[in-house]
Amino acid sequence: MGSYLYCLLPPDGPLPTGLLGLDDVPVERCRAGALDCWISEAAAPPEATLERVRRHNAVVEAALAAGVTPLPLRFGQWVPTVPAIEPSLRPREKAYLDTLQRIAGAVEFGVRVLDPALAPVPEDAVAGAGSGTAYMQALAAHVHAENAVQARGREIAAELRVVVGSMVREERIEALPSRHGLVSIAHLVERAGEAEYRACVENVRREHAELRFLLTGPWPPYSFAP
Amino acid sequence: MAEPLRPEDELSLVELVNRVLDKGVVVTGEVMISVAGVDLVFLGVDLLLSSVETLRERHARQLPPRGT
Repeated sequence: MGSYLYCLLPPDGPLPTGLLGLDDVPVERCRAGALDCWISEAAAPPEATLERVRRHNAVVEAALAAGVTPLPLRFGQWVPTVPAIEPSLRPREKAYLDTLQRIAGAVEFGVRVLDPALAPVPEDAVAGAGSGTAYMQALAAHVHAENAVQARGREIAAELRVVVGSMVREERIEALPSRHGLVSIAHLVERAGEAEYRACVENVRREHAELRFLLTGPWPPYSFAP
Repeated sequence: MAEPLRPEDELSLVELVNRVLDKGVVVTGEVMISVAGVDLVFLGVDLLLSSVETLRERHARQLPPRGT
């Protein structure tokens, strides 16, 4: 029987007592080298459905609720046998252990910043440009517009980082490729500092009434996987 | 018929799907996600903007959330 994998934990961490995973199969703790792994039996890699995505996250959040910050696995991690788990983790075992130390006692928050007034990047103009010169000009305008959006996003992220200061251990910044998207930010925040962190984000939001700040969390630290 | 999602739930759902399907440790190689049905496909950030505007308007008018 194969195994579906949810998250990695430091050795001798909490037990998933009574916890049900994908398709209501009980979750078990498995030792794999120097790591614990929460798994459940699965005959084959599962298809992604909303119910299974929610259940995957619920299992990872249960580990978080047990007091230990888990290192979440991406949906769909499956091995054909239990003995195959350890070799699948071994090549990056040290990186996983180091990351578990880095994320200990922390949770992830997500901040997406949108600008409702953002003009669409002129992608169609590039495709529709006739002559070589027109094409190059349209392409340059497209790149310039994209760069300006990303630069604005980085400015907002930097401003927010100054305000949240030492509450944030690490951050991940990504472009937000959508019509109104400026930037997507993930912050690794001390668990005890949640209220203060929310207040800081709110302060920055008030300073930018023209933008939309979408704050979600706390999440298990999916964005800080090595 | 399922109850429509409230804007704050839609936001959490988009964030959840983005994290669980696109972040986290990959130990068994990149997985080809086969999506059963279409329920994961419609999710997008632009969807959220209208949702957030709705939420803001609701707060401004002090209206109760839908479904209550």
